[in-house]
Amino acid sequence: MSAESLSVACPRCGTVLPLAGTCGGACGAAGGCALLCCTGCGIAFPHPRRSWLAYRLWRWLGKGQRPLAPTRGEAAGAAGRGDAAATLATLPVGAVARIGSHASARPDRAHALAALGLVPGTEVRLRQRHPAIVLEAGETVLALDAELARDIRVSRVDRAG
Amino acid sequence: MGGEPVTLLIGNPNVGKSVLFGQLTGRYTTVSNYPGTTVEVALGRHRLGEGIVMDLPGVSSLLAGSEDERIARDAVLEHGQQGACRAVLVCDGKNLRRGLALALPLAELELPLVLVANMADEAAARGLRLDAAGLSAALGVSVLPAVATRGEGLAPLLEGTCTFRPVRAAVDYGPALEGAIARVGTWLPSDLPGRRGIALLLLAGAERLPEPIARHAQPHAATLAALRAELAGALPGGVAFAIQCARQAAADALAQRVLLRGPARRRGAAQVLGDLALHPVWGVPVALGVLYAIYLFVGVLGAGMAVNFLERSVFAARLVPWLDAGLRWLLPAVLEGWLIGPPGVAPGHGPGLILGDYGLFSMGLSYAFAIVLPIVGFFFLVFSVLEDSGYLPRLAVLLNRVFKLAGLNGKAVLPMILGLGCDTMATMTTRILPTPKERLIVTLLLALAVPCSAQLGVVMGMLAALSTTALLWWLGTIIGVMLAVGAVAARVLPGESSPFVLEIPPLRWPALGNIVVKTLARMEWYLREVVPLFLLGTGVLWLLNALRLLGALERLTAPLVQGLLGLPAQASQAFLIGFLRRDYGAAGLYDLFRGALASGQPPAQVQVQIIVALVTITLFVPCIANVFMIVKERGLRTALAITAFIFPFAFAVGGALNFVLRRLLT
Repeated sequence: MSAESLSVACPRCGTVLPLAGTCGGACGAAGGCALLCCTGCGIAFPHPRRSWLAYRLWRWLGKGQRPLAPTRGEAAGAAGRGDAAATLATLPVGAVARIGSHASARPDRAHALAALGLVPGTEVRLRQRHPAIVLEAGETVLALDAELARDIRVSRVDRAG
Repeated sequence: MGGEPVTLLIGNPNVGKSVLFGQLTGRYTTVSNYPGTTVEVALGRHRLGEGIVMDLPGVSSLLAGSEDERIARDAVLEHGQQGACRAVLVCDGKNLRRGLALALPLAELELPLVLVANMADEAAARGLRLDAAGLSAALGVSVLPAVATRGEGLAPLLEGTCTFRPVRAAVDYGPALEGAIARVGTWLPSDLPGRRGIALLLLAGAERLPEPIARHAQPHAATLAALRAELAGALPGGVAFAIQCARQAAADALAQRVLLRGPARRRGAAQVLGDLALHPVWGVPVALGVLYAIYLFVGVLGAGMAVNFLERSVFAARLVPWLDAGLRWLLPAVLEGWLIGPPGVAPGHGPGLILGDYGLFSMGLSYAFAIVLPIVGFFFLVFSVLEDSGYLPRLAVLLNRVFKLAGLNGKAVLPMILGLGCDTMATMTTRILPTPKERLIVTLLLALAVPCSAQLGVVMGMLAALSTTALLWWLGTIIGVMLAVGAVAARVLPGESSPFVLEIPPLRWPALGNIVVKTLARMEWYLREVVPLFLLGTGVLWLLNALRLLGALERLTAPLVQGLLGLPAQASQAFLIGFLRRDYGAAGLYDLFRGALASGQPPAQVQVQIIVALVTITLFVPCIANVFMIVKERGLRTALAITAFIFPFAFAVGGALNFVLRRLLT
């Protein structure tokens, strides 16, 4: 992204976002902050122009593929039962869910998770989200990065809330 | 091994294969409570003379997603082809679904086996009851519920009275895969055992399959690639994923039938503590508490009290004078001068080869037994407790983010912490890391900045006697260097890093017997490894001294040691022997600064010298054994490159620190 360009591609879904004007509007600040929200997938990341340093730092730290925080859209998706958009990464702590499908573009990653017992139909309980996502599948306790957890779609089986 | 029967121990990581190996062979291998302890295949003789027992690395599947899985897969394939091969499938009784998912590929490979449902006690505590007869009937093999650490339930296996039979169970992989399996099956000779399993391996894209399987598949490589591409289109997530899902679904259905769930007992203290250690907030004080306890135990008790006692009361006050008197009485005058110095010299302070300033006994053995051994012993003890308790994977979760800065993830905590025991051992353990890039970064960081227990203990002992400020400077510099070098390496080196996935075992109270055995085994290994090197190093110093070259060497290295680092001239001796082992070098520094440390609070200038010397020797070239291990694991070029980088780098960091500290602290 050069300083002159007028748009930036979302690092996660590739949607081209204009740098001028309002952002995706996922939050009430409506562009008043130094974050840019993608209209395609809803992630928030530092605005390349308003916070040049933060943007560079964020990319350099290798977080270019990771949303800073789940946006309102994602959180709402997680709360709904059986919503196709809910993933392991958006599940609230304590929630019980059934694994749906793996959306990873990397077959080796999907296989590695399946080998650990995370196959479609497995019931999991989310124990904690920080500093890594920790979940229970039967008597197995697994810790994994949000980066992986985001690829695993789930549907809640307990009563939401 | 010819036609001897082979018994393979197969199972998920951390289910107790190594304990069972010990029971079956009477031999000890390292047993601990974190996944990936067995990185090399351990071999032993069956105690009943029934051939060879192989302890394979723990695996989650046999589709070879990692190096461990490939080792296990190849062992099954190679020995399975030779006939007289059987397996003991070790499962975690409370986690049966994962173990059963391994029984199914073994069924397809037609390997006769016995299933051990281990950790029956933990399963019972969680309210799980195994219908062993039902499972045995469903699979057609013997099922032994057991508690391997206590030897319970293993009698039929240990007495050789159970029969090994192939598992009778078939997974339906759906029309697309079944069609492909049938097609690939026609390429393989009809008398090849385990054709269905091999066909599935080929379809899953298994690479580097052993002979003769590779030979059978070779002519059909192009067809196989086309078949795989076609399947990948039909199966979302890929072929290996689809195979694993079908197996797990079948295993889940079976586990549901044979595992009866009753009320769980109340959560024990271990479980509560285990959850706290993993907690995002409480985990931090727990980690700090653990570190402080290690510091007290190893630094204060081991490096302080134990070393003082052994060095002063045992070696300096008793052994050296006794040996001096004994040898003077025994030896003819000619030898006396050579070996223990001329009469009248204070014992242990002459030019003698055995007793003297560079004496094999008074320097070499006293460094090894009085300075380094007690420290290493205390560290190995505390490390064994940590290992067996299952705390380390929890620490890995807590440190995951920090390690991300260095292009690694929490999984690298295991080899790094093991490196605090011994870098050579830890370099071998880098195999548990998924990508070559991560293995290389960890190998580099181990060689550069992770002090082994011997060295760490000496360093800790010196810093504990100095001040908290000194400790923080040393720690901060080493951690800063580690993260900085890791971050640069992560960006400069080609290849990719992997995301973090780690299984967290339950926290357990370590078994005293295992701790003692493990600590003693490591101490014995340590002595075998270091005593010859310590003697060699001392011999080299004695020779240089006798030839009056030591002074010349000190003058030669003066610009570096005295100029850049601002250290006393004799420090170059410590660096010289540091080439053999870093801990030996550190012990040399300990000896050098002993007087200053004993006086309580040394002047600021000496404090700076000690910090600079300790940082430099910590970063200094890896010991000879570690270099050999790097050559073995990563190749000669990498080993040379790592050493060539570290040597000047350590002095550069030491020099920079000297420059900064002189201005800040003096």
